[in-house]
Amino acid sequence: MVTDILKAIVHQPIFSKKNLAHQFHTSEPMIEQVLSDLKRMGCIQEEDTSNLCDKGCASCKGCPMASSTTSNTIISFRVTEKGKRVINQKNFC
Amino acid sequence: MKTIALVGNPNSGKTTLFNALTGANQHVGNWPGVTVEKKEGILTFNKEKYKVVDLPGTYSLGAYSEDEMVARNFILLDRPDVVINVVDATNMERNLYLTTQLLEMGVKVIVALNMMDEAAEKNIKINMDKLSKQLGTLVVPTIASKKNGIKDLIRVSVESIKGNYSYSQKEISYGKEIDAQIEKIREVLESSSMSVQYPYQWVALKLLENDSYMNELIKDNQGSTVLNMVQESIDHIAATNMEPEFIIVDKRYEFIANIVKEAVTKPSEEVVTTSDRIDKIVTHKWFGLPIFALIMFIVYQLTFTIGEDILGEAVAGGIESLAENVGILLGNINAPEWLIAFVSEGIFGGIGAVLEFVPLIMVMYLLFGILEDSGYMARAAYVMDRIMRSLGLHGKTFISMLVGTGCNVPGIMATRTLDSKKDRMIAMLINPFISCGAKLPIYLVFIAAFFPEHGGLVLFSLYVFGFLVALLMGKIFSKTLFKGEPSYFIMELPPYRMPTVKGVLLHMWDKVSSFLKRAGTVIFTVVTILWVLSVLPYGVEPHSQASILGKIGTFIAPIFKPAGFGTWQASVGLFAGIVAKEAVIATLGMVYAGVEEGTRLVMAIQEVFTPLTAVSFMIMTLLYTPCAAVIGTIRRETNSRKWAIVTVFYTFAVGWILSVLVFQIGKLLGFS
Repeated sequence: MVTDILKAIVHQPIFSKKNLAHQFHTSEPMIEQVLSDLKRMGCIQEEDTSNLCDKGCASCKGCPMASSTTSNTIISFRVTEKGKRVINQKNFC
Repeated sequence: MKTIALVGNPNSGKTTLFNALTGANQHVGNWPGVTVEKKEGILTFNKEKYKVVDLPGTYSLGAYSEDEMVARNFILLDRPDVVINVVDATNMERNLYLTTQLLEMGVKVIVALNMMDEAAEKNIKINMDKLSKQLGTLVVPTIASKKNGIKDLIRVSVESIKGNYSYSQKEISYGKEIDAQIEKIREVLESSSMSVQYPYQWVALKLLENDSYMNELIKDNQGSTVLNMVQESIDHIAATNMEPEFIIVDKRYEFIANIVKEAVTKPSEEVVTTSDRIDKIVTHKWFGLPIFALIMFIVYQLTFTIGEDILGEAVAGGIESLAENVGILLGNINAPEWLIAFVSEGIFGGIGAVLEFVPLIMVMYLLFGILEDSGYMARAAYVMDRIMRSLGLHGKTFISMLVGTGCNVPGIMATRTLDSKKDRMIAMLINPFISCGAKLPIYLVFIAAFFPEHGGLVLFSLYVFGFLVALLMGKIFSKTLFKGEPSYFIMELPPYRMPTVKGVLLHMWDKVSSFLKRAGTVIFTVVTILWVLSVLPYGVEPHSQASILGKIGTFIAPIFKPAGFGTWQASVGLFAGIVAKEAVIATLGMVYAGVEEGTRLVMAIQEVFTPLTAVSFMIMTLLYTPCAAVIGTIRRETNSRKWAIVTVFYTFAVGWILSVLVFQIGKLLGFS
């Protein structure tokens, strides 16, 4: 299932846990677990855009408005080289 | 004293069960070497005492976090006499993942199937016998919060410790090939002289699973021969199948799926929920974009209706009356004339002109906060992703643009999530075209002066225009300077949720307080410097063309003549905007003070601009050179002065060309 879900989220790059749960006849918490496994195995990397500013602006004193701008509802993932390798593996089913 | 360990997922009711088992006999400390809390308690049953250890809540027993390490080391190294695995009956699948890992460890496991009442409420039926048979463990239903099933659980645990139950726990098969490799590695480990305290079977499994901790442990035990053999096994399996770690994880899920299929009956979930229906419309291939545009238009329209018509007038009146009273007060205390002039022209004429628009900014960010909190913005990113890709841009570029609507500095920072240098360069170079919050007062002044009836539409059009210019430049960059295919990314659509009043107000306050802070610092400094320049040299008429500021403006002004606003005042305003965009209005407020009765900038603007030159000026301010903070950020993020300088000039050129085009075409069409 873990490889199938990796394939699914790469082929439909905007996903919801709910839709994936329907697609794979499982529960949303289970999808969370699979995503957690994919992260642990280094196939995907979660990117937290909401904190970017806080981190990035630590050294930036140029703009006081900088620290107030966030987009905290967007959670994005990056497919790592390992993830791409797994998807392209000839034995991938 | 015999030991019982409690292990379970977070929120499985483990701690409630721990309290029910131990009552007040608890001791809280820390696990050695880590900051994870350690809870121990004493259970007394039939006059015998048992130590109960509440292990940290965890979803799995890998080496991913301190919690996981503490739990798995305690189970494997301290070898409790029995492990009670607390399983949330309403969320069996995920909870059983931990159970499978406990079975892999070969320890005595008792499953406490907790929250049975909630499972019954959700109409989830669990066949205990089948579950117990499938797992090969004892399963005790419990409701820890009501202390139901606790006595049974204690009795079963004690009997288990005493060896009165025979265990036939399931051994998970990972397929012939992996099973054979596990066996091979186990034999090598057993015959080696390594002092590894963990069970060899489990160590073999973890090595094939590429467990970083276990790899290090073997390496530290001079186990390079073992590790070489493991690598050979991994390569051997991967050559004909997937890498072993994927097969192992997949087999666990398969094992769980089979158990759930056999032992659990759930009501069929509603396939299409209201949220799905909404998503089907708002993320529709054709309707998604017009809906997004409509929502944005409504936001800008409401900004004007509520912000200007209801709140704006009151604030403007308040500032005007305050200016008058302060002027009278300063006159009464015989303050020097220059101070009175500075306060009325510089402070109230300049900063006051900016502050008048705070209510509109409040309303706009309040509405944005609602959209963000509800989860709609992620849908907007989804809708835009298709367009971005079709233009050769990375989908995440839109996220950085969205962030840029607050301020371009974090907008440029947000491009850090882009892996490819070319994607990131494009995203950074086009971000300044996204209208930030600081430009808002400029539009608001000009809209109030010339287009009060169509404020929402004009504001919306400006944002869209900036966005389209950014996309166009992105497309040009992706076809010329930064060629290549955009790399793909994955985004999760969060569920819709009702925005909270606190969350939305905090979001709004964040923006408004930053705006006010800026008005009190950067803008104040700029206004002070410009005011001094506008009254020097001594003896000239203040704020006249003869002042230093007037001369600077006069020198720049011809550049803007083709765009229709080649006055020294407008030029100085734009020049000040390179320091900070809010300074544009503050400067105009100051240099136009006294053009019309009172200090109201809007009236002065009506005197010196026309609707066409107003549009041309707004387009220039939308697109021209970003503020110093943004330029600095581009320099830092690209690690290149060259790109910062390129941004300064190319954005100016784009802004100038488009404002000239708008003015000249407008003139040809007969607009004034």
